[in-house]
Amino acid sequence: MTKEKLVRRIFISQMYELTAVEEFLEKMASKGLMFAKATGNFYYFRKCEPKKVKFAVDIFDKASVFDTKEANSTLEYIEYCKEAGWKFLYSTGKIQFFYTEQEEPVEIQTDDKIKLKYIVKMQLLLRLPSWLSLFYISWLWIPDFLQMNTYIAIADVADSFIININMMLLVMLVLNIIAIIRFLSFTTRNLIRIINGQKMKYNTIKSVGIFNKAYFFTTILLLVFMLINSAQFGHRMTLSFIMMMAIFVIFIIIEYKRMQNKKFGRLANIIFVSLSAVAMFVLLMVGATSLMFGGFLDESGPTIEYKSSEGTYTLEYSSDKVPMTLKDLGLGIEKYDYLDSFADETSSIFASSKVYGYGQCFADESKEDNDVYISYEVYSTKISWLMKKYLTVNLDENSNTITELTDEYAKAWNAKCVYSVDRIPKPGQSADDFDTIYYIVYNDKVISLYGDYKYTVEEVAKIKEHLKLN
Amino acid sequence: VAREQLQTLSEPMYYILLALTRECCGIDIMKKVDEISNHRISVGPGTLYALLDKFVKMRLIRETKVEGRKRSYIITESGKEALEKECNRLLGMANEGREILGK
Repeated sequence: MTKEKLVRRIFISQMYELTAVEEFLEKMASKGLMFAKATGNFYYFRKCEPKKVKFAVDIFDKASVFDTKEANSTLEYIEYCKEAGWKFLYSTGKIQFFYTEQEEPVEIQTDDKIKLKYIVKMQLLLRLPSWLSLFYISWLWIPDFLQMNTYIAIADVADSFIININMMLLVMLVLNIIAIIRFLSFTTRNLIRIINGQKMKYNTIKSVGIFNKAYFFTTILLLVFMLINSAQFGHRMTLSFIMMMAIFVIFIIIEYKRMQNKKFGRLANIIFVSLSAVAMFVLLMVGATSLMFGGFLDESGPTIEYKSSEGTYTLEYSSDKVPMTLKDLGLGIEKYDYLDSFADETSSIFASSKVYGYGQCFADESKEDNDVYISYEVYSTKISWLMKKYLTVNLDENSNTITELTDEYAKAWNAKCVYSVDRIPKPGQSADDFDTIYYIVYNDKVISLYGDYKYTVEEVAKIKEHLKLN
Repeated sequence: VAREQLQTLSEPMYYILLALTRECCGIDIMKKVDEISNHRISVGPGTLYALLDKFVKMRLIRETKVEGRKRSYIITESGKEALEKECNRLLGMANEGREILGK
């Protein structure tokens, strides 16, 4: 037997828009495409003579997604509908598809109160878990991202991976809020109608269609944005993330297919799906951990390496990631026990942030000044608003003493302005606990230099040369 | 004990209970309601299924036999009471209307 070719169409709808689905299927039938089956938002059709039929897409509360074939109660229900003249076509989870050629058939649900109850129950069952988790995650991430009032948020704008995740969250949040508003307005409107003894009123295929198109194009736009964003900056993090999402989707498809092929009972299916979900979770975790420790994601992450002059650590330090070391500035010490460096470079379409550290220290902690180090960040952005935010957050007058330098040293930087920032010690803290930070502000970048040194004019010239500030 | 007490019965409920004063197969109730109400009331299969389920839970009706997938039901004592109550309420309403409107 050859597998027959089915025509596939996508139609996105919510549980309170099943009437629009009916309308859609009727339209397709009048065009000569008879509904055959549905998977999620995909509908499959068989070619037929164009015909005028009525569809009923109905919720049967007792059925379950875990039923591979119709359970007894569902079969009984189908019998009832057959008796009323409805021909059964397909069932997926709680949703049942019927059609009839009768002109004015008895509706499957004649009681709007029961119908509304099922619709609300089904919508909440399907969407509430994702709505709640989406709100929770958004509540953790988005306020910082929108307000830009913390250093972390501003640093995140310079990271295309985090921008991707936040953009995704933001778009999902907006789309879901719209869906929730539509759902609430549908429910209240119809509750009032039922109380007033009126028939329920559904969203037409037109209004659903407009929303769907918006939904579809926003998703495509988002994906394109994410791909361009990650391709441009070649971040393996984003690619790994997309890979994990893909694995997740493939998992769902495989589980669905497996359920369709092997005819287990409802309980067996629930157990199988839960077990494979746990297995997939463990696999993803193992995968993510091995990626992280395997160094695959280290491209833009911090690299910390140690070298001991006593030879205990044999790791070779590579300084090529740090553009300027203590040695370059002539500040390095000859004999030290440990060498420590890190580089964290991120970039996005909005900004880039490069944070470096380089330090040498003695093992003997009792020695005064047992370490010497340099640490600096180059934050570049062409967006003046972002630049202003960066300075506002870093030059916080409430906890710092800020001095604008105007001397010869400041002039040597050739910058717009140079600030020295000293943390105001809280009770119990000493001013010695904190280093002075110099903020050297240019038109499109800010250099922040940590360290207790007042650089000489010659040193400034060297820094400018290394950081290409000329 | 009924989980919730119905204050009044909706028209479809009333006619389904009426149809079940004699033992009847669930599927046949639709036809019977249509007959009893002189084609005025039609109960959709989905609504019928949900209401039968609800009535069984409320013990207004009980299952009598299962043949394959066909289930038969009959009204219980408390079902009859509810029906009687509703019938009297409607009769009362009708009489009061008649009195004022005249014969």
